[in-house]
Amino acid sequence: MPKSLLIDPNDVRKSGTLKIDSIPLNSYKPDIERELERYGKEKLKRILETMMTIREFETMLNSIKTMGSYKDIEYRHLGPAHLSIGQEAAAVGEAFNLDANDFIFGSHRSHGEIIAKCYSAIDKLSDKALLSIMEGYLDGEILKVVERYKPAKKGNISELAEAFVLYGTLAEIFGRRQGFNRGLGGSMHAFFAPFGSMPNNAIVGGSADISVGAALYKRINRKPGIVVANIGDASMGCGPVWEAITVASMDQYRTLWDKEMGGAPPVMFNFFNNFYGMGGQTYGETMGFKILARVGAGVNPENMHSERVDGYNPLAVADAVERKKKILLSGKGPVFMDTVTYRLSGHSPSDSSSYRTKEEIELWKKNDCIEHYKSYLLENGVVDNGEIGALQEGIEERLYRVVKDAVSLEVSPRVDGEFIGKVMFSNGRVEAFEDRKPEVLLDEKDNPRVKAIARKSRSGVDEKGNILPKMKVVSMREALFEAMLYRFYRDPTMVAFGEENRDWGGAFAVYRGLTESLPYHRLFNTSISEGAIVGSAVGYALSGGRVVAELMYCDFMGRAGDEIFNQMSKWQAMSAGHLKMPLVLRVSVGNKYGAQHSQDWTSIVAHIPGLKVMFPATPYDAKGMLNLALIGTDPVVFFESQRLYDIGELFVKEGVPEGFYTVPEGEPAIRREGGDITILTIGATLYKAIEAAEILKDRYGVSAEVIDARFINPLDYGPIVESVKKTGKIVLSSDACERGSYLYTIAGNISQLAFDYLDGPPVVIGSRNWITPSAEMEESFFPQKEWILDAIHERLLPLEGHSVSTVQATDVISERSRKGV
Amino acid sequence: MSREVILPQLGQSVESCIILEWKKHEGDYIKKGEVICEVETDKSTLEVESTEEGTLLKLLYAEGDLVPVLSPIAIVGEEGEMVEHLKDNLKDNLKAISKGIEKEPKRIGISPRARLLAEKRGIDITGIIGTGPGGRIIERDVLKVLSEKEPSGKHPGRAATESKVEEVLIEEKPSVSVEPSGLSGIRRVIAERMLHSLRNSAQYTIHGYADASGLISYRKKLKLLEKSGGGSDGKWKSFSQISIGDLVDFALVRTLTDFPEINSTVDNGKLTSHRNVNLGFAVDTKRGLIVPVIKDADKLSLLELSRRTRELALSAREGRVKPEELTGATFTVTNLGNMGIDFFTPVINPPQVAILGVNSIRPRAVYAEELGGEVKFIPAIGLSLTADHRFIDGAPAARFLSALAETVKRIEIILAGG
Repeated sequence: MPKSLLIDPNDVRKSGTLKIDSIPLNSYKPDIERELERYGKEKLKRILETMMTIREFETMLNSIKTMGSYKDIEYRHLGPAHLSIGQEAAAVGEAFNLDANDFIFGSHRSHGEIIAKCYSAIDKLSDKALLSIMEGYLDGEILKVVERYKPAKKGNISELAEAFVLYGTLAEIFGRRQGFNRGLGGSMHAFFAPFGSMPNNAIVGGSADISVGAALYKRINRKPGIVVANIGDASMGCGPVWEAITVASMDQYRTLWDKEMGGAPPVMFNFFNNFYGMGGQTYGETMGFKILARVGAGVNPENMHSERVDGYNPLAVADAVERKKKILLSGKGPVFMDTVTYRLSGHSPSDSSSYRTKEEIELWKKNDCIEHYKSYLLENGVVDNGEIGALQEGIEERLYRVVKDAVSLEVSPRVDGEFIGKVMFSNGRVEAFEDRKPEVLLDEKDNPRVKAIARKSRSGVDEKGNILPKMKVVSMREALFEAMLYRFYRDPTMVAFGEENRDWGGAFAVYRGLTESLPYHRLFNTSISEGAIVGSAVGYALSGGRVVAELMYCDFMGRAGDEIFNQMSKWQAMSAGHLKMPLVLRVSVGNKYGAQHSQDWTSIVAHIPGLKVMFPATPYDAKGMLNLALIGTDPVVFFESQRLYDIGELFVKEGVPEGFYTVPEGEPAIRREGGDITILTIGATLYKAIEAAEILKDRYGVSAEVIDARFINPLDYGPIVESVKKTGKIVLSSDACERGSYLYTIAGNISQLAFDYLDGPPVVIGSRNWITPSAEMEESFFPQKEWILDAIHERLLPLEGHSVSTVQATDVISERSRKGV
Repeated sequence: MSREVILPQLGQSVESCIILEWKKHEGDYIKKGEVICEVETDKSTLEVESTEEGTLLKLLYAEGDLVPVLSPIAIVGEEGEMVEHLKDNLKDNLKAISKGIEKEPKRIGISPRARLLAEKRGIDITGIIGTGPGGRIIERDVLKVLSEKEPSGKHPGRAATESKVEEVLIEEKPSVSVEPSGLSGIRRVIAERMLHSLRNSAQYTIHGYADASGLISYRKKLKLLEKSGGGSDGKWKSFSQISIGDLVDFALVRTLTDFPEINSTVDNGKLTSHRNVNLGFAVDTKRGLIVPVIKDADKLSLLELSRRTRELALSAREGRVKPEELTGATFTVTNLGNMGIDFFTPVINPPQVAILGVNSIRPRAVYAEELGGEVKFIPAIGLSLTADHRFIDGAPAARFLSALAETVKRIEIILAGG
């Protein structure tokens, strides 16, 4: 909704015809003269060597998976091996003209891409750079293994580096300590970032939006290189891939961002089109594009520079990549490549190829990319058979040593299981991810909202303890704004994006005033693409920048399920700590807007390992906890209740501090002290609990201690258990639906940590297991103070003279459960 | 196919019963619902109906044995069926049955916190009335019992802080050692009853004495009867066996009939005064204290009373006292006189509300007009009366004790029907 862009009805209502430009198909024409001139003999041979290396590597894995041995080495590999036999030309061709700082992200079938990209990087990096990378990686543990190999030429660092890549990859596939990611990623997730081989993803199309985020990182932080998303033809059926394409193609990069920024994020969507998604045939069966390259045409006027490339000719692919890279660096991306290839091996070793004919496989075997390229070089006198034989011999010899070492538990042990726990979170504190001046449009103190806030009371109550009107106090939304603004002015890499983030200031005005301070590339609106909002934030963060993504409503997390559950949460641990994930995902918990806009899904994210989950309920905490999240290096899902955006600070006497501070991680806050019963809340229910506590005191002489958990993960049970030891009774309440609520995890742990102190069972009061009804009916759905009182009366401590107004007796548990509501 | 007859749950708090008498014996045929045995719980005597039909192959317990509820007590089946394997498998069966108990909805619930507090403070939870949800005993209920025990204590229903609980704990620790659990048989019953008695009533003891000259002279006369030739056909023998204790008991029974409020029992907080006197008397046996009951003692002559006392005491010592001879007392007497005791504080045997302790006869200096106006030594027998202050105040207790002393003093007149 930028005011600078006008939508003129006279234009949009004009009649005419939309012309779509032609899309080139396999336009590369082999020309050995030009190719020799362009690359030289050695490089052409290098392409062959790399392809043959990949073929041998994948053949070795196939042999191990299907026969339990490679040559005389016996080994049983339990994990997956999705092989790319037949696709070598596409991988090697792509990597050939890429630099070490160009990133490729891939899929579950990316062993070939890792080898191709790393070999390409080895060719481009100096010996010094190579050594320094190898010595620094995993404290030189991989290097120590491969240093024992005798290089063909003494002191040949490239050869050493190649052995390093083969062994690091295979050790990773076999789940060993010397694997690139300590064996925690395995076959489908192996990668080696120092050579530009970035995370490979086992979720189909998972690399698309992550690549967009990495490209945004490169563009926004002026980093060299492009980013390639290597995904399969079948991923064209995945929503997040379309979303990624959408976010990558937004007009604003060229219309609204500073010209000086250089345009669109440099991302290439490279579809390795092998015509099958496992067993579903994208050509003629499961998709309708017939020719995949067609899809680029619908996205932007440039057709995404889409073309079909002959992926069975490495030189065709290399040529295309070189051309596309230029387009991307000039800011005119994104680009779309339909790289035709064919997998001669099955989807996995268990594949019996029931979905394709022998005839088809034979046809492609006759066109085998390696044999064809060999013949091409032989015919043109680039190599002779002797050289090819020697190459093959050298490859097998080296691979044999690598396999021998990778299967040996002595040379290549596994990490201790507890190691995983150590890399789930990085627990860092980083003021700024880069040491440069953050790009801002005005001084922090001149920000109009900063000035407006200066006129307000930092506390929600006056000196006499009266609650001040909401317009006069620093509200929770302003407390959040202060935390955002603070970090924006200190970490130059920090960006924020999502729907309606700029101008509007977020649907709930948390970001109002940020637009004035920040250039477009640090705060921008995205398409309605929740999956890609989170996915690109993941790519941005793992590339090395701090990012805040916003989903307007918690309910929309459903649209970003994979990105939250499989990407944001997993990459720190799957990389064994090599990657950091300084990503804060802000989500608001709504009300009044019915069933799809009012859900508290804390329990769902709490269940997913690898996420920190926070839910402040006061302005003091909102700022202190967002400050904490924004100085950390871990992924945080940050919940905010829309009920509380207006509220002032009622618990901390001094109100919301003006300066920077953080809330101690995981520590629950005691909001009210008491001795007879504990009420623990998560989120806005805190205020209902306080009301209930007042009634308990005034009417029944029962003194309630109210604890605001505020953290969900990590959570320190210490203060909660202390309270329960004192009171013997605990009621837990939040707006999350009762069934499967995270409160039950807390309740269950309390039962174990304080069993002998319990005077009754921990009682959980959640929202009903229904849809959220209309605003006028919400009292029947969300926990109310009466529910808390009645539950105490019915389940823990009968209150003298109390008569219940709601149904809270334990009978309803089984009764409702039986009905499933 | 042989089956087990299970001892049912005989009330909420009953954990075990003593088998008083088998009404059916091995080899008998029993129908479902027929009475198989009589058992005594800590509260009452009950008939147990068979849960199975068939020939009684095996009785698993002897009379007088303590049996946990919901466990098998007998095996029925076809006549001549082998049952040894069943007996061997009894443990397994018990296990299976205990699983069944878990499902029993009537169990009294108590919160871990309340249980811990009760344990630490030595409170018997069986008597506590739970005010938590579904009658669950919760912390405040234990605190209430505690505050009743210590009126100066904290307000009931208010959580005491941890440190305060710890403080009192240290003071009260010795009481923990008297927990009845872990004991068995009669010892367990005694322990439970005595502990229950002391925990659930307001006992106090007053001491007095009676002029025993009358007792001694009358007893001498009875002894002389034996020597005066009555021995040949033994006609007087039983007279000569009348002891000082019997004489005191006789006086006691006669006095009790005039004090129905002392000759009372309490049930569920309701006091019932009795016209007739069922006199329980303490007998020291190898197995521990047993209190046989002389039914309608007020209707017996001295000789009958003496004879009945001897019979019951003997059966008790020999372990053949019948269960019904152990129940129904309205008042109990316990005599430590022949052991040289001057005074003691007997413990009431619930549901009775008083107990008399009889002590040794000692010379006592008295001054009285009737004795010639000078100080003289008389043989005096010590009497210790423990009463439950909830029902009997000090003055009526004292009146009863002095009436008893008077009766003892004038035993011959009483015997004559005075």
